[in-house]
Amino acid sequence: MKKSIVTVIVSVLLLMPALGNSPKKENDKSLTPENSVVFYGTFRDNKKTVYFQSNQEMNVDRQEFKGSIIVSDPVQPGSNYRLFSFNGKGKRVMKDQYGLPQVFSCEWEGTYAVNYSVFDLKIPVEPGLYYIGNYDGYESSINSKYVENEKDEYKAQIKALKAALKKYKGTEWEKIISEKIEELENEKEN
Amino acid sequence: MKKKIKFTFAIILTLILFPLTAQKNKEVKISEPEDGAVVLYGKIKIIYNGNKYFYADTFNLKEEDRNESDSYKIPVPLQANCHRKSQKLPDIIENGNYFYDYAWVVRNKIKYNSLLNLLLFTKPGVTKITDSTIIAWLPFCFECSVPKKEKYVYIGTIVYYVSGSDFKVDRVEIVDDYDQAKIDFSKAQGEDKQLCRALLEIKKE
Repeated sequence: MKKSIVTVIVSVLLLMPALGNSPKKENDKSLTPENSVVFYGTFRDNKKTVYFQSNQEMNVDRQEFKGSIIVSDPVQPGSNYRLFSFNGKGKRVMKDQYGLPQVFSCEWEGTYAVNYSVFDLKIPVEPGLYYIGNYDGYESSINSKYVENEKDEYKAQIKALKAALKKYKGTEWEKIISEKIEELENEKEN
Repeated sequence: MKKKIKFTFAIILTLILFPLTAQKNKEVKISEPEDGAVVLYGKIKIIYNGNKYFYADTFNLKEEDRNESDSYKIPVPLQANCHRKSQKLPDIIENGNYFYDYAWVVRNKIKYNSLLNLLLFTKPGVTKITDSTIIAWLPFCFECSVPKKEKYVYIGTIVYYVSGSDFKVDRVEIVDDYDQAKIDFSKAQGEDKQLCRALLEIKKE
């Protein structure tokens, strides 16, 4: 009896329509720093962020990021990446009813229309590596930059660059990413 | 043996029930609106000249879903809807088809200041929007004057001409198909319910 129940449940699950799928992309060696753009940055406390290329004249593409770090695949210069959905969970300091700062647990989630630009990334026409910033994933300020202080900004940027270095190991991007890390470290020392 | 029969029965039942739950709204029988409210009857048609398959490719839509027609979600009037507890009307309708909605009449007027959701590749029988629905938002700002004591109101066929990656609305037309609508309404809801004409107009602010 138990077996048949399990089989029925499995068959029900198989019959349900699959809700979208996310193919795993390999690094395309033909997309180099000379002909494409890689963008990086962070969305604080985001669990999943999905961007899609919204200009119908340009390549069809979707970029999905798990966790707070954003490191894109090489994308077409001059294209437009539009936020489609995101969700996350974190703690935020907000004022309570007496105007005193309190720590609140927040959870956020959003899915947008394909023609609604809640947060567009306009990809530069000039190929290369670009920093998009360190953002707060919390819904009310999704497209406002989150910078508590310079130290945090530096840390977040280095963290994203280190992830980029791992992703692009053995490609032409590796050198550019290493140079950027070095440049930031030198800036900090001075 | 008994186990086998039970198992086969369960499988057959599942196979029968799934398609049934997927498309349960065909023609709705509407009940009379409460005092101060009316039943709205109209059509929304969105003509998009952009490349909608761009989104099918972007979101890896399955081959069978690419042939689905588009739907729209009925916009909510400015005055809150007055759905009767006993009757929940379908709010996702195939593009170009009739919809019914209940609305309160305030100072003889029905006003809209909302968004029209165009749902690409969405079956008309779908009952709710999910995270994987591909949506485009279009502005929906209209108003109409409702004659006193009328209960069933035809608001017109609202035709949107939309283009480009940003679904820019190039033109909106309110087409008066009252004669045809009256025939269709009587066929669906019975001769005793009289449909009056109160076409929507673009809202003047």
